[in-house]
Amino acid sequence: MKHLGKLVAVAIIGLALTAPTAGHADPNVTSHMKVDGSVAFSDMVCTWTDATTSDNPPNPLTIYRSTINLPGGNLSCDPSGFTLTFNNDPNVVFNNSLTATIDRINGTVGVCTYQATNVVLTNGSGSFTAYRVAGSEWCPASVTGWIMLTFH
Amino acid sequence: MRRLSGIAALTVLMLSILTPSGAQATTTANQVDGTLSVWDITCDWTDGTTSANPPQTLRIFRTTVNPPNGNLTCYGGTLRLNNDPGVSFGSGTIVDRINVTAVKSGVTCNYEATWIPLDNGSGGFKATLTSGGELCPNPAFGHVTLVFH
Repeated sequence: MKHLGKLVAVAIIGLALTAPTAGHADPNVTSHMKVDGSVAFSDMVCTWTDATTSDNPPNPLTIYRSTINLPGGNLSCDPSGFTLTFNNDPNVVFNNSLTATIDRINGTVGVCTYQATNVVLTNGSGSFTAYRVAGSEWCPASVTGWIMLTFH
Repeated sequence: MRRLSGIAALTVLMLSILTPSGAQATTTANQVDGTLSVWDITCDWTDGTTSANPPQTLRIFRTTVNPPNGNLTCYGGTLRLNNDPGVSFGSGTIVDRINVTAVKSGVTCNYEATWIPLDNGSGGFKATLTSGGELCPNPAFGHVTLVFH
């Protein structure tokens, strides 16, 4: 029993040493099924933190849009007058240690809806071309953008 | 007493496993030093923690930059980082967002800049006032330098 107590004490010391620094979930462990991200297009930048995913890399996973979009998520855009809404739950597959592919991103800005498919990320970021799938002719037919994702 | 020394030895062993071995010249320590200036307030820090190492897209954890856990030191006022900036290393290096609270001469202003391109680890930006009174210039100009190690 004494030994057990000491083992527990040692285990606690070990835990204390590996515990994350205060104020943030362990930054070095990619096992929390969360993703932070940024997407930039047409002079607009939107960022979010701590969206929920269905799994952790390198397993294929889904990013749940309800945890990105307001009010469930914290998506915030610059300029602040614009809002982006994700219309689908993007799936991500990790091809190897270098690249990942997002199957589809469908988003609405104002009255314009765009979609990009097979977006390849290298080291967690990549460019894409999104095509107008709904909206008036005032909406540009396509926009190019950049997306970065960090899973944690 | 023997057992105590055994535990002490075990603790030392665990420490040695968990502590990075010495100073290394490689960018594998998930750390970043930097300077950040906004509104003529200049700050620098060392050994902020990142979520990964370049060229992997990463986040800089603000809790390891701002005091008390970080060592951000400022001149001409104070800055506090309000977000965990993301950095990607694609065709160019991009910082996705920097949101700071700047305090100078008793005036508090919140600024945000997005999508800052870095050239050789540094870049200038125009920060938009997100909250603050008439005494806050809008926009304010800024500069950031990042050194990953």
